[in-house]
Amino acid sequence: MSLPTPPALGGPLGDALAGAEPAATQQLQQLAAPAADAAGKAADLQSQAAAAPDTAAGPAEAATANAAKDLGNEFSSATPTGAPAVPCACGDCIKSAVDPALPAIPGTPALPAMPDMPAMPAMPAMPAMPATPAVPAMPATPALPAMPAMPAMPAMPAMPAMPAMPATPAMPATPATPAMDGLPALPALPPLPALPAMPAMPAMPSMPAMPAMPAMPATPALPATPAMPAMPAMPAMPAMPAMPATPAAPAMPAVPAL
Amino acid sequence: MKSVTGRAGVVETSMNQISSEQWARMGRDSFDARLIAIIRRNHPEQAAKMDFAALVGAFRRQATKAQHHGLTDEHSAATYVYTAWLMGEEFDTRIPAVAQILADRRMKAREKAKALSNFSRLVFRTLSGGAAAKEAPRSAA
Repeated sequence: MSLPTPPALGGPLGDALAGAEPAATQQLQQLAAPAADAAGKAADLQSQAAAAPDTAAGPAEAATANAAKDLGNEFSSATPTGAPAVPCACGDCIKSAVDPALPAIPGTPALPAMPDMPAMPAMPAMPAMPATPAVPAMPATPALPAMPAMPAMPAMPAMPAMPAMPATPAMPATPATPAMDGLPALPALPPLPALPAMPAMPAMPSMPAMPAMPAMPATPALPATPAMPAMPAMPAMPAMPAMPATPAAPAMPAVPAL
Repeated sequence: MKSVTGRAGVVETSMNQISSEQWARMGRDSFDARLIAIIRRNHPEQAAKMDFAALVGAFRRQATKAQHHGLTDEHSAATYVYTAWLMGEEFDTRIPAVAQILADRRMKAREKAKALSNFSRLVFRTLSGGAAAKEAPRSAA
């Protein structure tokens, strides 16, 4: 540990070192040495201080011990540094003074930033809505009878192929034939046009049988719907003026209680 | 508190108002005044040679350093400033044991203040050359 020489602070240690024996200075080096950890060093200092006799070894130690007691009596461990302090009503400690001119203000939570709000267009007036007439009751729907089952359809046999038919020449008109010997008269027959040849028809395969369709149950009747009462007319809504755009608001930090 | 109304009440209320700066100054002045009184009472010879008006600035710097070391309540801060007055301006870095304790983030402010108080007393006991000082202090753990 080097000798402190600042004029404002460290005077007591400088005075004590000036009059100390060399052995004491050497012992001081051990006292100032760090330990394995801070808590261990603090515990070591506490045990050494507790083991020391109550009688001070000199005036400097006595002054330091008394000053430590005074610090405990006149400075609060519950008051933040820099706040005015006053004696507590209990008489054994001091507390932070309360400014009588300023009422306590509760803390305010942080507020998030607000985005830009676009302008809102004016809303036109809404016309009055006429009254809605009553809806008459709906009659009940009768039940539908059940549908009978459909029988199965038998299979259709295959149809053989039909050969091609040659063209038939046109037939001239046939004159009427008078009745002869008990045979009725035959009317005249008009000429028959020629018939074109018919191409051969391929064989048709057989059609499988169709299964029977089950019967459909009857549909129950639907009850009648009651009549709806008439709705009164709605009055007209006045027009709403346009709202100007609102600029974005920055986030507000939380304010602690005062 | 009696109620005040009318013009007289407005005047009385305005006279009772103090600013935040005034309030903070009251706190600083109160801290300095109490600490100087303790030094004068317990170290009258050194105090007689000191210019306390010039010392206030050094006290403010040490109080700020105390805050940085986590000594935020006024008793711990006052113990720190008093130790600085005893040991010197840079005692928090010059003395390894003190630097170790102040830098520890797990120790509470009152534990650090108690360690500073114990250290100061043991230093002056050792240097006083009394019977206890002739015994070698226990080495650090």
